[in-house]
Amino acid sequence: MRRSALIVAAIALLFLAPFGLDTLQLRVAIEIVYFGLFAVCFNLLFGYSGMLSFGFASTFGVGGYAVGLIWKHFGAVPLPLALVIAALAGAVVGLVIGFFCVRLRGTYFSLLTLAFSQFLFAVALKWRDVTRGDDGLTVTPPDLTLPGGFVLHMGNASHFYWFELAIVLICLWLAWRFIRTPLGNAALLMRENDERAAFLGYNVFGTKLIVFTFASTLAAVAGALFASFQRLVSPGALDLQMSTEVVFMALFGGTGAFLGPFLGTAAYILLQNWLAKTTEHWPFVIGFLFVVMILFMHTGLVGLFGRGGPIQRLLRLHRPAVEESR
Amino acid sequence: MFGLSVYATQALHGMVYGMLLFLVSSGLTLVFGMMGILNIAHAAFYMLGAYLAYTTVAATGNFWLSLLVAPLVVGFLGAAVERGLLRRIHRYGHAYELLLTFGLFYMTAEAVRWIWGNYTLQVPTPELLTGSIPLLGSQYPVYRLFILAFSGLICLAMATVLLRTRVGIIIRSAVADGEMVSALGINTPLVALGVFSVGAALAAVAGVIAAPFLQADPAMGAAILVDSFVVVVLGGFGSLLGALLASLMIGELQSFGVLWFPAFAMVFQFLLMAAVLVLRPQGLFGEKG
Repeated sequence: MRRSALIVAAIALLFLAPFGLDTLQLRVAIEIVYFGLFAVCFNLLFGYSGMLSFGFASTFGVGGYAVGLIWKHFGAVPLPLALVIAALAGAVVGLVIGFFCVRLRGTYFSLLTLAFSQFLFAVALKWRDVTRGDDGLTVTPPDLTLPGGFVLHMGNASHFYWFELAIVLICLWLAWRFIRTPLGNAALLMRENDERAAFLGYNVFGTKLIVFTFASTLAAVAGALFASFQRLVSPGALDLQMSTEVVFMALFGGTGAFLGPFLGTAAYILLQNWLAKTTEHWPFVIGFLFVVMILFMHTGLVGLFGRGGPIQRLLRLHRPAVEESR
Repeated sequence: MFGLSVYATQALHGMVYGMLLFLVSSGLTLVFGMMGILNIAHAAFYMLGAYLAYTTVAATGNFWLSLLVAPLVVGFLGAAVERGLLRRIHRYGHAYELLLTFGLFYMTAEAVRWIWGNYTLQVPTPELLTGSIPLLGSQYPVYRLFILAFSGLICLAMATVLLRTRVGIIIRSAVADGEMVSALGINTPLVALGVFSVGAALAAVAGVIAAPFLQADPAMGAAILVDSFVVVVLGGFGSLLGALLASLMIGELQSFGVLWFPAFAMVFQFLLMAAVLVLRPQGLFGEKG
């Protein structure tokens, strides 16, 4: 009861955020929300199922191109419908890529996802008739009329934020439900030992493929939101840099908790914005922090502050016996 | 469409790049075979080699000195990375080792931009090897022939060590079955350290001899990284002969791909890598499953 009250309060606070932030801060918040969803999806693969993808930006970019092409060719298709189509596009691409990738384990899986994403990148770059190549595709999201007659203007940062937050919360809820299904549990088992899972009668290939497709679907929604906000989608949406950043974001937050990657995204983007003001060589600092983090706290921020982490242990120094007897 | 000499020149280009690629990939594939780590930072070692060559030549004017300095520095760096960093996190599993080398690569690429600047640096061709000679009906730069000869020599030396010496036998057995070799009383962590370090030094050598030909560029690491992954996959993880054949193949593929299908040259190798991973994950020439 108390827990659900807390969640409601947190969500209400998130929706009120535009009243407390200036335009620049709000833009940062918008970035955090869609990249946060992207990082959580990445973690469905890595943290929950042990699949480290080096090409996860491919479905993110596909979602972006999907909405861009829809609005370019079919006019003002309503936003929710466009997002659903983007999600479907992500699902199809995820299904195809996953079909080949999830058979492989460990480094082989990472390399094959990398190969596919580079292939998609090359297609986005060279198929100029459709994607407009390097110049990128202009994305023009139409305004959304809510049932009460209230119109959300997509050009307005607050309105966009509210819409985006609603969509992302729905997606996060779906992902949360998803990992709690028996299938989600099976994925955890496969992360630990997929040979054993196979012997226990689980369909390893099918399970992993469903997880991969599901994560790709939601990643495409995140990509569609990204493209709608930037009003542009270019091959940069699915290049190696983007795939790299999502790895950093998720790992910074910690892959051991559901919302860890979301937290990591917030930390990463705030850190990046702050560093970029300080030094033009901020990628070096990010890379350095990443290496240090892998070395000394590979469980990320969540591991540092979460249950049983060093900070909590420090705060409870005077009563370790109670902890142990539990 | 083209004269025969164009094809011959293009084939030579491909071989030159292929041999460079082999010098980089050989360390990568051996380390993967022994330790199960795909060392992404390996490409950073190559890049550091080229930049150290630039600095050495700028400071002393002697190219040949850089061929000694760069591998030494980078070899020690490689040993430090293996001993000080990778071994610490071995217990978290391969995914984290991969992520660590990934972070190191990202960091080094940016450090290079910071130290040497975000632009291409020219490394002059050593005087002894400037100019070109008539070959196969056209003029061919002497320096590229030197790359071919030099990397061929290293390749021979490597084959001799691996096939004819005791150390070579130990390394090959460690690649095939590390646990068994370890059980026979051989200090496999030490062997791994050595292979890692020598592999890094070889990547640096490749960087040095590539410098006058491809110049020192902040993007050179990422470029060779992707190519060397393709080589390791194609050749079969841990197979040196496979790496050699695959390197030459990729070199030729790029060389002729640019000639015939310039728009899709960059897609070819990825399709090839994807096809091999899907159909024959042990690589075209690999034995291990």
